Amino acid sequence: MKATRAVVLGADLEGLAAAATLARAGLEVSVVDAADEVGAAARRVAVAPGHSVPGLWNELGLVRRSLLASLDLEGVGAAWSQDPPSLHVLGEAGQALEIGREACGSALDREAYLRWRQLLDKLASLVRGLVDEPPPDVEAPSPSELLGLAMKGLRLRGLGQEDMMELLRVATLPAWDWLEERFQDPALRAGLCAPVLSGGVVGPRGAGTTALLILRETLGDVEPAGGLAALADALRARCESSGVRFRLGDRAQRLIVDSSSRARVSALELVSGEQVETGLVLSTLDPDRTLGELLDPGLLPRHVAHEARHWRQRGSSAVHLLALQGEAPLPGNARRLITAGSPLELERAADALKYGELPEQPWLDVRRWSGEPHAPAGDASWCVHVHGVPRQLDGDWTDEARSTLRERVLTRIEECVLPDVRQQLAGDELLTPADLEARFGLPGGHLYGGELALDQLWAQRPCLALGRYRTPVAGLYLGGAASHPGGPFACGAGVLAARAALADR
Amino acid sequence: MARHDYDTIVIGGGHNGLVCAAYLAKAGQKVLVLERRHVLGGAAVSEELYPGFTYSVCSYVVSLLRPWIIRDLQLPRFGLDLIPLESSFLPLPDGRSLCRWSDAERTRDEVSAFSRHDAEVMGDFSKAMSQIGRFVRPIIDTPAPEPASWNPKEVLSLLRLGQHFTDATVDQMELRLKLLTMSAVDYLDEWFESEALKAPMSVSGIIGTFLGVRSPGTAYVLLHHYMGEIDGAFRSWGFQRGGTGGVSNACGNAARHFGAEIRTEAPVARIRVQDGKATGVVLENGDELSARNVVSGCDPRRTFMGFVGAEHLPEDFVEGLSRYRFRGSSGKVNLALDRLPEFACRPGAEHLRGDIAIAPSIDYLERAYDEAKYGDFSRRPYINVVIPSLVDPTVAPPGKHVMSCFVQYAPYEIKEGPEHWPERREAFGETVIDTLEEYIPNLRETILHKQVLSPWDIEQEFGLAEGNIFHGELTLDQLAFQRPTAGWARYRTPVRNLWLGSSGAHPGGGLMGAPGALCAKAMLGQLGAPLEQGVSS
Repeated sequence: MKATRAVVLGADLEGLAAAATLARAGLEVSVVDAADEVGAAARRVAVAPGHSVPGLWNELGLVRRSLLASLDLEGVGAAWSQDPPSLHVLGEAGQALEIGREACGSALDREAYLRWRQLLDKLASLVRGLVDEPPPDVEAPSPSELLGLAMKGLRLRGLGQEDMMELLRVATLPAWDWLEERFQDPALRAGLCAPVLSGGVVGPRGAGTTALLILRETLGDVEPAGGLAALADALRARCESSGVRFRLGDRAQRLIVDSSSRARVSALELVSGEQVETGLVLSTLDPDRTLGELLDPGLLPRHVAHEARHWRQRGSSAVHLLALQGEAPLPGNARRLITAGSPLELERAADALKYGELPEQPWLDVRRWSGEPHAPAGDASWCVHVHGVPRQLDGDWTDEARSTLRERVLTRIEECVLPDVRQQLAGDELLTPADLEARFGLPGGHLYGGELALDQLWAQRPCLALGRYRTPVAGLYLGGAASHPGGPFACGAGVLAARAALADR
Repeated sequence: MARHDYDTIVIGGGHNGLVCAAYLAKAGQKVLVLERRHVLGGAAVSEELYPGFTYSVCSYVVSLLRPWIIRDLQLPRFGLDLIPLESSFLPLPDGRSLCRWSDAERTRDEVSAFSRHDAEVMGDFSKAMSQIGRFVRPIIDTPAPEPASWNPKEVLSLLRLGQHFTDATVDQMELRLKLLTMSAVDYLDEWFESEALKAPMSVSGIIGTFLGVRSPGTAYVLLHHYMGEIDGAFRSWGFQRGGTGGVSNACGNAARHFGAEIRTEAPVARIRVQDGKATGVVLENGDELSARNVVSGCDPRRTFMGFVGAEHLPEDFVEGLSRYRFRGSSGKVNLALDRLPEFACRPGAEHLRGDIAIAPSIDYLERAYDEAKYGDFSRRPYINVVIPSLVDPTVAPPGKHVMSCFVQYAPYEIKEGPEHWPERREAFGETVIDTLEEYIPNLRETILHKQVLSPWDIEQEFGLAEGNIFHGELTLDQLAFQRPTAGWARYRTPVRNLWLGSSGAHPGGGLMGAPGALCAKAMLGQLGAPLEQGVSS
């Protein structure tokens, strides 16, 4: 029997994971991507000769390794770092404090921190179960799904009354409030909530940030060794070994649908003019691009089109890449440092986003990479996330706006991270959200394929009607970062969407 | 067995306390209501603070008063007389303005001057929201679920709640979920493009809550505008003739009619607790009154920390209360005016008969929030203005007017500390008048009398903790089974025979009366189950 032909749109981590999953199930898979390289934000980006960073993310510990297990990436060179960098924040005197250690100074905080970790440990398996499985079908749940839901309900109750009520209470709480209830040290509070702000447009006072905090703290695990680029390389190698073909530098133009009975994908037309006959298209592009642009509008129910159109993916950070001569260590020899010492600083930076302004004092999330292939021996490359930078800048991203922001970032680094940063600079590049969109194909300049907000998670990622990877058109699946679990929980959506497609055959 | 002076003593003659008393008296109990002030009503009160002018001092419009309470207590017979608000007016600094009328056609015409698209989708929006309103209504009219309980009845009611939620098409479910979690602005952005529509609509999401219109979790309060019911007509807001205090008086009259005794100027000092049981109250004048049951119509902090004391309460309950957020964020300015104010952008009076919103843009509202976030009142606040004397001549002399201004943000916690509000009060009042004068030139010279209430004043005068008008913020983590704290949402308290029947209990604040009525039903053993039919009909 001839293998079924499948096309995956987008060669980011989700697309690669989906393609590998489909190919290993025996499908003949092509991957189409407009870029000339695979990986999107996970590809290696050069900063200066000899200097590069392995992808644009600083948060690597949330990759869904458990779902990747079936791809045996270790067999094609992937490795997992058992020693992910711990996070440091800046204390009042500018000293680096490690979260859970120095940034937990008082005896009260230490004890509170231990209690908090205990609670999170109890939640971990429950959360993992939610993240690594497809969300339930709310419209017509199957008996096995109902059973699964009931089991989750029981496990929730199994936490015991106190912890369960605490979870229900804080799920919608701003991280500001939850952390304030528990900890005194503002640096500790800042360090805990800063990482979860990067996927959204709100500061720590935004409701829902606690839910993200719980997700991050319960799911954080080992990182792909060598960064996301190494993971992308392994995925590509796995794809190639399974016969996946890459059509890079090309784009989907139109999905051709057979509407004789129930609408079903029959072919895909590429911008190059080529037409690929296929009954299975798995798109990791954003929902509106997939459903709104590639499909005939008449094929979608109105509310689905509405939801796809209103998927929120407003980028909120710039990425500043720095090539540095010399060791350029971070304070306290940290490998990852947050330059905020209190939740208030984080909140202020988020204000600028609302008005489309440049933040007066952005807070930075600095990750230092050293050693080959990231930097020549004795040098370093930094990937600096600059938070509170809107995609839609009032007055647009002019050269002037760019240089203003670059100045502010360098000044901030001078002030609190590396005083001679300018002397050591061998090259740098500021990627504004507009650049991230144009150069890396990230819609809205959003690093995680769509804001991480309560209404854009789980079954609502990207919306209830599309929350199970399937679309109103048979054979068309959504499996990008805008599907569950998506965002920084990389590769989960790709694998789960591919499994859904395989299950439907 | 010890003899009691009363079956039930209700502390606080606010509308909830009075509703509760009326239900209990109607069921045959011997009831006493104790009110600290000289007038009934709590925050739903009218006072003639300047001769001839009656202010609705705090609460100024009525919308959510439950129709079944109105019927059960025959409130119209006792003086309830609601006049529907006819319009919602938005003046803009650039000289334009938008008035939304109760007549949909007329509103559409006005809106299309701003956006044709918005004018077209308004009808769909109202329909969708009213649908969700019908979904939520049974939730606020019946007791909260108890998700931690293993009692089969409770588990069943949780399942029923799940079914209630999923008993809809997927797009309806989508809207319900979004409404619960999104920010008011994000939610409205999905429908409308014009700020002139979105800004004044979004503010209903932040009233009484220390959040901005772009803060997630503010969308669902939009619903309140689509749940208001007057005379069974969905979606209406109204004035009480003679001022909001008339609502409380109607409840008080009903209570008296059914046999309850009401004392004013009778401040309670503490609740008597013996062996974990409430046995009565001690008044500030030292009098002791005994009762089989005590109901508090006051907020949870005053009730438990003020009247009971932590020593009588379990530790986890006290901890839960300490986390319960009040964070008052609004103030009130009441004005007696020599003549009708004239808006520069639209002279005349017809469009002033409803409410008037000073909310010219989303950024304006958000900046107002930012200032409050960092510990100051907004330089340019959101103001909700009503001029009830235009539709109700009884509240001001002929040709003169009263103007009620609800002002947000005025945070209780200003950076100087809340106790410094008296020094900032004057400046706060001036800010409000300056803001209004940008739309109503010469307003200042028409002012005959002015009352300025900061959240500190509201706390001192009306006993609302931190000046929060809802007895605690209406955020998801403080609603339903978590109001006021997990495990105690059914009006019972850790002190036996002490009940909480105020806005600090499910379903929360606003001139609803539901907490008081449901509390009485709980005491009478008639509470029923969550979503149970029949309670509300």
